[in-house]
Amino acid sequence: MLEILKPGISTSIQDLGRFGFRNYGVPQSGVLDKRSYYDAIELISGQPGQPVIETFMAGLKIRFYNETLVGVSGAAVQTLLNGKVTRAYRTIRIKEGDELQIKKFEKGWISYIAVAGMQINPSMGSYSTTKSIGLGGFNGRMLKTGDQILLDKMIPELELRSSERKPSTNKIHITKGPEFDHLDYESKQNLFLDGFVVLPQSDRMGLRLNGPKLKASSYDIESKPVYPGTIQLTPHGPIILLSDCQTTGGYPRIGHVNSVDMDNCGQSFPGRKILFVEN
Amino acid sequence: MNFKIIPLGDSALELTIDNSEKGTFAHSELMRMINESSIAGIVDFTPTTSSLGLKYDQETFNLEALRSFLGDINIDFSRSRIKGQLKEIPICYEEKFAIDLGILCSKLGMIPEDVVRIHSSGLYTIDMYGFLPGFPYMSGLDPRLNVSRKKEPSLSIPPGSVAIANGKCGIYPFESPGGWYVLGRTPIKMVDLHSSNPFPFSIGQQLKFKPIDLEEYNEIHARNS
Repeated sequence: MLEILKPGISTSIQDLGRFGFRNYGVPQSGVLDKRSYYDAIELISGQPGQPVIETFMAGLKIRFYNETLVGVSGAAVQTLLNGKVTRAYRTIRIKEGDELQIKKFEKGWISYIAVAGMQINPSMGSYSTTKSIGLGGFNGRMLKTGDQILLDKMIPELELRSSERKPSTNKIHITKGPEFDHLDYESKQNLFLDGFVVLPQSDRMGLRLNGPKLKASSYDIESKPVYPGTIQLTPHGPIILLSDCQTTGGYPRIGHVNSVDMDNCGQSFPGRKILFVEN
Repeated sequence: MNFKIIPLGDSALELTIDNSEKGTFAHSELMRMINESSIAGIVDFTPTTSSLGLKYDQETFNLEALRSFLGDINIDFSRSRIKGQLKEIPICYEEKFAIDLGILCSKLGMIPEDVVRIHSSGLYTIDMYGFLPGFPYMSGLDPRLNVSRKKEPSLSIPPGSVAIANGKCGIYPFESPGGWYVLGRTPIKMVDLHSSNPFPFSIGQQLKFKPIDLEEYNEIHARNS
């Protein structure tokens, strides 16, 4: 068993997302940084698709009541194991009673903790938490102090690994969306000019951006399909939709982020500047 | 049959049936037909009243296979109109549930009795789902009840709330912010994510509202929770 001693920020159980229910309006959800997700499960020789813990910034503290293996990846660079500094991106062998805390993060704000043998029941084919509707993960909600998650008693085969985080970039490659032409001439230039700053209101549903003026001929279209990666233009500025976004939207879809750059979007914390590059 | 196919980024497409006769849920029928085909690599669908979103796996999906499939099909628009038996949805228009009825009446220049009578006598059809899981966009709203969305959305609309805006009627399955005018509440669960059939109503389902009083509301609500 593991127990959450300190919940950190927006800590939830996620996997690669929930698919096949979008026709009923069910958000995809799932990890915001897939590359780091794979890194974390690789450290524990896990299986793609298994659940991990996603947490923002520092603070999450976990106590373990069983022996197990843990992999920490993403923005975390340092963890504290029983108060002692350890490096992320290295398999951590956990003994009974160990306490692990996310200590220091950089170049992003999201970290992943993969724990061998972590037992979560899938909901509608996925382990991912969709907070807005109380679905999946741990009781459909973010983790909080005192939550206990069962671990398989079986001690995983011991293979300690280490890896490096791949470099991230603030250049986000996009293609034009169906309503790109709702933008006036100047706005089309502005989209690729100086870049946009991520606003603090950003969350797992979307990155809200502030930057050069973008003006559309109309902000109200019929409800149309949108996906994580769709860039919507609202009267308050552009939003890059992320994993928890709605399935349809009534704002002009001015662009789409290339799949490979979605991880960089997820790790774009408030205050970071991103630059759109046309593909 | 003519289709417009446009990319939504590098792993999704938007298909639009190019035919003015198509009606509001032809794209849902199109989804069914593609779903029953053997085209590989399709992850999921987002049918709306005007187009169909299709998410695909970049490694296994073949656009030419989809194109050739679309070249050969015909959609029976009459078939794509009505699905299933007419269902009755109980609704309570009591003041404590009809949060926006007052402001709605002043917007429409009508009295509450008339709004309720007109709303409850309509025959509604689920055109699409969106906004929230299981939030039905229903056509069939009497044009006399046509209002645009609120300028400033309400921060919290209780689950079960029945609301109207932009010529449509919808039901909030979850507590959520929202910009539609709430005029009543249903005690039944439109969505049950923990049941084996979480979404009992398909696109194309026809619904009627049956007005009930507070006592009946409480009875049905207690039975359902």
